[in-house]
Amino acid sequence: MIGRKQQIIGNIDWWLFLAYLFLIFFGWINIYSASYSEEHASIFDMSVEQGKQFIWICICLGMGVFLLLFDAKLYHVMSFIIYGAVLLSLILVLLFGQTVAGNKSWFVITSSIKLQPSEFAKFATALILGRIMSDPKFSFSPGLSRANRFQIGGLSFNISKNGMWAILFVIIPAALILLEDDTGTTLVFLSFFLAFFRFGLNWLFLIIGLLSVIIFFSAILIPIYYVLISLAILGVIAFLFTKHLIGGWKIWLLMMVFFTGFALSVKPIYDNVLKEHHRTRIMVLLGKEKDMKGSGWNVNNSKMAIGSGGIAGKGFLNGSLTKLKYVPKQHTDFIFSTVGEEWGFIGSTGLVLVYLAFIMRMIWVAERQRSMFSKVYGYCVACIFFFHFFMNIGTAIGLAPAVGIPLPLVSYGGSSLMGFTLMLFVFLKFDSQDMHILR
Amino acid sequence: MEKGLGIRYVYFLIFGIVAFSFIVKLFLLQVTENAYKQYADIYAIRRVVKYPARGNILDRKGNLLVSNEYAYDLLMIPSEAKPIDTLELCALIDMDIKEFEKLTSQVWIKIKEKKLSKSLPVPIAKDLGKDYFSSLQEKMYKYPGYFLEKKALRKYPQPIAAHILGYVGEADTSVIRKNPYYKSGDYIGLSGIEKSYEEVLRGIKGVKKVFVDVHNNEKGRFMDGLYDTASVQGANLTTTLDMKLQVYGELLMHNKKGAIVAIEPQTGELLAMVSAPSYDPNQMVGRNKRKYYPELLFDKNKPLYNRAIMDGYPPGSTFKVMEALVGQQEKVLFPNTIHPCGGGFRISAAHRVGCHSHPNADLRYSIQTSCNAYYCAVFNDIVKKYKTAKEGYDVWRNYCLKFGFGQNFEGSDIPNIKKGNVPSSDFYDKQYGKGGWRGLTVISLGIGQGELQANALQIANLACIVANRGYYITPHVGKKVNDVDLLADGQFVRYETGIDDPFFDVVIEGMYGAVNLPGGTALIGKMNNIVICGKTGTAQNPHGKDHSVFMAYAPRENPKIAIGLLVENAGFGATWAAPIASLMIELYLTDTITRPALEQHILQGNLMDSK
Repeated sequence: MIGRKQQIIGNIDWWLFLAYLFLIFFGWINIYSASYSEEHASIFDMSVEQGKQFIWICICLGMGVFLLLFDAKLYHVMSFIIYGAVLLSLILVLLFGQTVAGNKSWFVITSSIKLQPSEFAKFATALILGRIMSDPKFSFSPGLSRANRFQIGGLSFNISKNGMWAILFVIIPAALILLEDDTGTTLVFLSFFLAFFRFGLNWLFLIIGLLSVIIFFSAILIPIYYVLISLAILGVIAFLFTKHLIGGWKIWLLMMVFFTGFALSVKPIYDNVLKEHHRTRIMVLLGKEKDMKGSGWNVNNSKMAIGSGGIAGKGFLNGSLTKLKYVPKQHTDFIFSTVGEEWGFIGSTGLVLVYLAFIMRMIWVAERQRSMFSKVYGYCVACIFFFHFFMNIGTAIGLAPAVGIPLPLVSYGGSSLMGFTLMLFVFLKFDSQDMHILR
Repeated sequence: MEKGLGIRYVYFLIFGIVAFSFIVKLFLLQVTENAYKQYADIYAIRRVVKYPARGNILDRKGNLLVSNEYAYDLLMIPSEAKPIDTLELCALIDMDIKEFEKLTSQVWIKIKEKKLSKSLPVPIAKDLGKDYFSSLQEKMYKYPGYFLEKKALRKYPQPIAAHILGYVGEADTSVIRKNPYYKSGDYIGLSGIEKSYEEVLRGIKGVKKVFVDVHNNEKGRFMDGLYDTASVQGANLTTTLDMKLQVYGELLMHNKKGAIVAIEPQTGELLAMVSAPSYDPNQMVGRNKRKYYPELLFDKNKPLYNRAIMDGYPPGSTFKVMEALVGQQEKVLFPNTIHPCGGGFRISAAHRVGCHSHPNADLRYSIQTSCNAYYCAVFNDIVKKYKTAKEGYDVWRNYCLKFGFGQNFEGSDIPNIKKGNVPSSDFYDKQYGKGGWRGLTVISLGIGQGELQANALQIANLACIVANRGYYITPHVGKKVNDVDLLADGQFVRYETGIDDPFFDVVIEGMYGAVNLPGGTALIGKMNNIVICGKTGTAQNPHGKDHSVFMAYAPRENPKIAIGLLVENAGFGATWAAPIASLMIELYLTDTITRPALEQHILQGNLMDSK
């Protein structure tokens, strides 16, 4: 009989664990660099970010080990309670929370300890989705047996009642977080949809989604007539060549009506519903405008810092633009600018590759789960990490709109580090228990 | 399950595409793109203050009196300074190497004592002109941590009007403490127009933040210039001065000590203000100042002293004009009043105020001949009219104040005008005991002597009052700021003296006679084509030869210029002061000089050392 502790350690996915350690450590030294000043030269100076992050890292590592001790079944049982508790805290923070950096999403415990329940909402949502989607009767497409569930590109447009529930469980916390004015974290909930495709959500939705994005931007940029004409031509081609794929003219007609209506409504929504700063961000992303005072300015400075790093970078603690605090939020949302400046093309590409491997490994591990619960959970977590990775680094180098979300495990922030550690270690526990049973 | 395994590759593909596009973008940003390379060796952000040029100062006809010229300060940022070839640098900035080393070591001591910040620039050499700049600029790369800061210095196309224009200098600590606008090393107007119009002339400072690399090169603007502010040049000030008249006045006063003040009576506008000896205002600029300022300061003739507005001399007989007006207003003097002269005014058996010999005079003739005895009597009559001497004296003194004597013309833009002195009755109470004095005790006041002190500006103002028949406007030197007319804007106020218009007739007649009629004291100033009204005076000087005083205005009808002047140690008023005033009036009104012999006589006069 092997001891319980050894079981856990023996079955842990060491690749994920090592990548986790690498990311938090690398993040920590970059936070040190980004917050460095002559008055606070020590990496353990508790009055500044690097020291606080060190404390958070210690807490999170302890929490991680602690999480590994629980039976994975506990989360299955508790998922509704955890989800309910998180929803409650999201409502409470709306009523009693405090505004930090524009988001009314913080519980302030002491002046230096603040908690953001939205960071834990992602975890709770992933858990509850695992719970309901692991139900044998669950399917996104109605009328299909469970066996057909994994088919790529289902033909039907309808969504099952179960599927509606799953989507609702995502939308509720997302809506509450949107009320906190935290657009970035709200958008993170889109990542659950990315995970849904693995579990039978029609890929057509993804295509529709992408097409909608393209139509949205085109409708803003070019006259609506061109958009409609292009849409008509595209529609005819689609009808002629993929008629058998999209399931008959009724669906085709439905889609045409939807896209035409969408294209026509973009401009009025853009002009009347969106706020000025949203419009500016869109314009900056499209390169139409240089918003030198708002987000465009951050992005410009971030690109400048990254670009100045060159191939090999300026070296640890030698990033002059970083030291001059040139990029705003350079220890949180723009930590990648510090990496880019001090570690150069080699270092920043290295970080991108490590991150890519980390997320791919998560998908890999999720896929090997025999329990549907942990598989769904694993996909959700991987997609959340991916979404953050995409938006955060994308913003820093000017490829994605500035939404202001951290780079998980790397950016400064206790709630964020704790939330992601929680998500990852629960997944590691699921996997290790699964592996143990397998043996 | 099998298909499920395959689907993960779709995710891998999506993730891979995103990561790949990141790497491509990073490659573009960090390896191929050159726009950001210039920031690669950024070392620091430097805050460069952009000093605005001060506004130009013009004369009333638009001639440039003061403009600007660029110069450079060499500054050092201690935290960035590296060991350099000090010998070479010192040669370039014309500085003694020991002085340089002393300066830098003092800076480091202050930094150690936490009196100075390491990262703030310290001036090493100031006001380096264009010549220094061109040779320095090429070598600056050799001196990391040192940089040049451009600034505008004052330049005077004509070396005139030094006193009234004033000068600028560095704001001292008391100013900096009081006014946060000024930082150490900033310039501020310290005297004259530069002082009174400081806020108009100084403009608005700008700030430019730039990146610099270790080699001290600018590497672009911080935050794309978002935090930069533009400097705005100071407003142009048009003064009331007449450049040509000012130049001529200074020429006439060459080798003499004294002051001329010329005012346009209707407006109170200062046409010229000469204080002699003077200095070239360019001597008070930049590096020159260090050299010349001590010289000027210790010159026994006190060239820095503005004699036109100083505490002054007794106004002498010019004061009799006021006396004649007050006497009439107080109904103790009438045009036909005759006081016996007989060579003087008897105070008592032992005391007599002397007078030159002339026939007994009426009011008009008393002015024309400047009879001392007459005005002693007038003064005595004014004081006697009231119950006590004190009461009568206070009435008389009040008139003096209304005429601008004992006043510094509050609200005037000519700074540092001294009040002069018209003693209060309390002063005499102290001197002689309460009730221990009478009009006769202080009788010398009646002829502008005794404790009385006045300056050329006050005497010129008296001429204005007569020319205007009863009022004056605060004497001032500012005419327009940009295009705003200051007088029309209500900046300067009209004062009434309380003398009724008819009383001026006989006084003006007397002043006319003094210059134009036989027996007049200032016949030397007479002109054929212009009618000048004037009054001579002699200020008693216990230390040496008396001072020559003169006041005048012209033409008699519709006067355009009023003048008050004082020439030290020049004796009787008519000898030097009256001809100078006459020449000034001629130049101003006709733009020519028709009396070259008189002019030559004045120009050759040297009264500098006569005592």
